[in-house]
Amino acid sequence: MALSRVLIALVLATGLVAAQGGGGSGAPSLGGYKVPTLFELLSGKLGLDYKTQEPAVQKIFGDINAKALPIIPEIFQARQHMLSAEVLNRADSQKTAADEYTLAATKMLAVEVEAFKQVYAQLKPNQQKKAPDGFVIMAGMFVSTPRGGGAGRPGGGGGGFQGGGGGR
Amino acid sequence: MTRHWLMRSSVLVAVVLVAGVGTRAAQRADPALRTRLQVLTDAFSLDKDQKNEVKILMDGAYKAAAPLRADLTKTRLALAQAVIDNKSEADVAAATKAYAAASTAMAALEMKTLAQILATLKPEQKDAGLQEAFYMMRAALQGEKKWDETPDKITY
Repeated sequence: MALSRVLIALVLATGLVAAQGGGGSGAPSLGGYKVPTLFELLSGKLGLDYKTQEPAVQKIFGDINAKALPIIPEIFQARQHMLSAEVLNRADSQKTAADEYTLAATKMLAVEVEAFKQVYAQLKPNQQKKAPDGFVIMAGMFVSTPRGGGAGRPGGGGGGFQGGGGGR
Repeated sequence: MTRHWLMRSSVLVAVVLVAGVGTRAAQRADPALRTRLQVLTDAFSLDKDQKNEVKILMDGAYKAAAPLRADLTKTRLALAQAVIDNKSEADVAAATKAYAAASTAMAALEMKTLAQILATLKPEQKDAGLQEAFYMMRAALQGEKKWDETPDKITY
């Protein structure tokens, strides 16, 4: 019973954080070593030049981020339903929750594909060869991980693609 | 000469120790940089036996996730190639469906593993740590680095 209350609280917290525009992002630092953001990983993989391509790609992600924001709570809600179904060991609920997750993941994927198309158009031929690997890095890029109580990750800004995402 | 060498060695040892302490302090201070095992241990206040049990569960899940990881990468690359090659809408939709299915299978395994962890805990531990553990589990089994190593890209 107590666990159900916590699961409900989890859903509410997810909705709250999503309404605030996501939680963690930015790059945490470790004793002088800065964990690269997903954007930095992507830029490194594609070899983007910092003068024109990096700002252009950042703008693409910034613009598209707005489309991703409403999908984030759907993803976490579906995951919460998956967890509840597992805890309660309900096969029918597991199937429903999995279908819910697939739907949300497909929506997010469409956003990622849209961003990828625009990024690809910015690349030079030698960079385009690495584009598929770049798309692998982009997985989950727009899904900010809410922190407890909606606080952002240290060193982070608002919700977005900069580094709080990742995973698929 | 020997004295000079000893002094230099002492300074070096001191620098290494301070750096080590600093790094550990930074890891403690920044929740984003704890390993997932540390996050779970802190979130649920696991005792030594529970920590071992959780590690066994997560190790098993990470091992079981190997084909899913491969499938995620394969289907993601296929989708990228379909987009690059300007394939038909139906082809892109099929590639999207394949990736979404792999993604769902991975999410299901992550949540199943969390449910198994919860089953080992006392009610008050679940209440205290579930939210943090829930968000941490996303992508926990997906990295090329093992689940309890600090990943190249932080997802929790």
